[in-house]
Amino acid sequence: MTPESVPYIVATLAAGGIFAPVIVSSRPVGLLRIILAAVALALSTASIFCSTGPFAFGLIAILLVLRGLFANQGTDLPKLPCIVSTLFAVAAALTGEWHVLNLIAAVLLLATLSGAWPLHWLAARVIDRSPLAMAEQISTCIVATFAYLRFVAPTEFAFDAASTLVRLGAVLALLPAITALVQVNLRGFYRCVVAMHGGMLIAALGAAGHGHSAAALLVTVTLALAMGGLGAMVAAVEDRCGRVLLKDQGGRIWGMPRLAAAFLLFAASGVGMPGTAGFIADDLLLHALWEESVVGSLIMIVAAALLAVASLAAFAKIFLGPPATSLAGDLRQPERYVVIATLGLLVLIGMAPWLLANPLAEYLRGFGAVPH
Amino acid sequence: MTHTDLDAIQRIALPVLILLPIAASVVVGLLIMASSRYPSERTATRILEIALTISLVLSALVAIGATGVFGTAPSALVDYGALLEIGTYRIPAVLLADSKGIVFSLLCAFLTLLVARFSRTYMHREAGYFRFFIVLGGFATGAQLVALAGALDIFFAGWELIGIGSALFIGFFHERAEPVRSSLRAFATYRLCDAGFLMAMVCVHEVLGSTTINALDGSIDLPLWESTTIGLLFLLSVMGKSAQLPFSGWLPRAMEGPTPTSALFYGGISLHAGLFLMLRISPIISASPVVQVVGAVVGISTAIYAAAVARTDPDAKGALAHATLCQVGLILAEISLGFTTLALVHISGHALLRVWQYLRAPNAIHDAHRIGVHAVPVEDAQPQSVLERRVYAAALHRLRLDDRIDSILDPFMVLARALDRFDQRMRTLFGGGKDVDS
Repeated sequence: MTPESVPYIVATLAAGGIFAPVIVSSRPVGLLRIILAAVALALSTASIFCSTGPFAFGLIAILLVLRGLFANQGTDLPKLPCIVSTLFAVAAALTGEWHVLNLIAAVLLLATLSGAWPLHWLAARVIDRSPLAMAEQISTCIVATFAYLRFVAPTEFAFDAASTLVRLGAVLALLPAITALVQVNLRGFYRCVVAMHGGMLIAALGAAGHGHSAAALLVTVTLALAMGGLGAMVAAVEDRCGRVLLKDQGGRIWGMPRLAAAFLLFAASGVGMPGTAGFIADDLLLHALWEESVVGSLIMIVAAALLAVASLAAFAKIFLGPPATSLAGDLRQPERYVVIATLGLLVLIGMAPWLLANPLAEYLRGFGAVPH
Repeated sequence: MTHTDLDAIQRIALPVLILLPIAASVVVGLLIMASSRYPSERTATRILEIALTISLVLSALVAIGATGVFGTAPSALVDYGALLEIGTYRIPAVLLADSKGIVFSLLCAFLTLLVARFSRTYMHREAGYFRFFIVLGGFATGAQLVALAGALDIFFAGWELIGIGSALFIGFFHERAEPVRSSLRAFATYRLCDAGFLMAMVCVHEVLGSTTINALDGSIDLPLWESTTIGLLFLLSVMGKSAQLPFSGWLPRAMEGPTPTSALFYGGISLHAGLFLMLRISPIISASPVVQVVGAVVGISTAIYAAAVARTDPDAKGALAHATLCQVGLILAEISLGFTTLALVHISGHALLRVWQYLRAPNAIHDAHRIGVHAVPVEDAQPQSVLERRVYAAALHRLRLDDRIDSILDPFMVLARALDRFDQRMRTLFGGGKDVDS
């Protein structure tokens, strides 16, 4: 892979994130929705290829404004999270010269999109509307992280703020990982899992200030693919069974074995299953964190371990147990294709991370985005 | 054949023998995922068995090649470059087919194929038949990765695959609640103890500059506190995987899984994987007397505990599990005291014996019921003195290990609930995500 191919890879991943929720949606997809997805793809691609920070964040802001405008008709996203993230994107676009404000706005934008604490109440609103909408929102993270790596991470202030962001991110990952253990419903569990990954992303953004750009990109790609996929599976379960409680064992695996397998694989990839992008992302992130803060890396390891236990416990309660009397069907054909493609990408990046990570550093250097 | 030819053959054979089983699992998984009908049992089993057979043959060929039969032996270290290389950070793609690795690889390949063949009949028409073989393929790859890894990152990948496979097999009969609970407990123990492995791996990278197994030889030059810290972190991980005290509670619960997997995991490979890690990190152990002493103490105490429990356990598989654990504790002590070759022989012999015993267990129980043969007459086994009775009671209750660990974890769960309540209040205040079910 050449350095020039990096933006194309990122654009392809973003395109997948934008169109996958449209393909797997159980409701009829109107023309407006398809047009909006096409416009989102155009704006995302333009943001990925543009050469100035204000322009890149400005295009993301326009994308979020559009989503907000069609919040209740064309997209599943509620208005408020779109408005708040738009404000942060606009702030990131307008503060290009003031590095402190630029960094704060960009980090807040990514925290809002990824559902990190304490802004996770906005993500909670999205997940309350539909977990699939969260998957749609997470896809924008790839574009925003790419803009962050090119225009924000190389600044002097990002270098100075690296250790603080790493420690903050580690704590923000640990708190939702702890609460994930005691969730009583599926949406609450998904909210915690996404928030934990949001914390990881914040820590990775901090590490990017010291040149660990690949860690940040791989963490965001894992977030988008694994958490996006998990969101789609959560939506699929709820479409079939209504609101799912994590009390007794649901026994749904008998009726929907493929869905259960996909749910487990996405959740496992998110907590670093070997052979998937999550494993490499975790490995890279830990090494990056170690250089900034030993305690931070220890906290992150504990957070990942707790989330893994919570994920298996949630899987057991949703799917395992005696057969449930239900007519709910397994994955539909379009859902299966999206699952296979997303898992394929997770495995491809996990087995050959150099495809994405190796040319990234050279690309950023060529772009002039050398860490301070 | 020239040295170069042998190197080239080994270079191809090693990744194939490692990846083929999981590739077979992926093929079976894709057949199920992509089509509307399930493949036949015969098709799924055949795909897996062919992959496992090829894996065993290649493992045997690598072993024969290493003896020098074809001329000179190929190099043990096979370097495929780097999985990832960014600045000074590198995830090396290195395999190590040295004597330890080859013996363990051969053992794993043989036992996995044996258990797969046994399970074809044993699991016939069982719900979850396909799940069983898919997970078995993943486990086989995990075991080979552990055996032949030339870097800690690759070792950890295999280590995790074994852990995930183990948890999924323990909860195999998930229509009952108990196997699922046991599976969660085993997985939680694995993951929390694996924090030690991860920390140790990052430490090794920082202090030795590389995570390759060969780089561990440099640990002799490390300051004592560094080698001790790294050694103890690895030991924590080994204690979780090999069910050493105080993490032995999950092992009897793991017997909830199908008998063939009990044989493969807890008789054959999984419990011994921890010991194999100890063999791999033996340079670190020999660099730190503290780690040697702690390892030996943990191993011997576990052996004493397991020997006592094995004599009181009323369940055949439970007694067998503790008998296995007793030997595993002894092997840990052997490695800690530096008897690595003895330990490798002990691991191989012990694994073969235990797999046979586990696979024979259902028939042994059947024979005992039919013929009425018991190992020890019940009246002779009664404890006599006060001390004997106390030891008997303690062993019968397995030192209440699970209760003690639960009592340590209880405050943590209280904290988690308090944190969740606080979070709910905050979310309600800002109008996001009301938990109507709470």
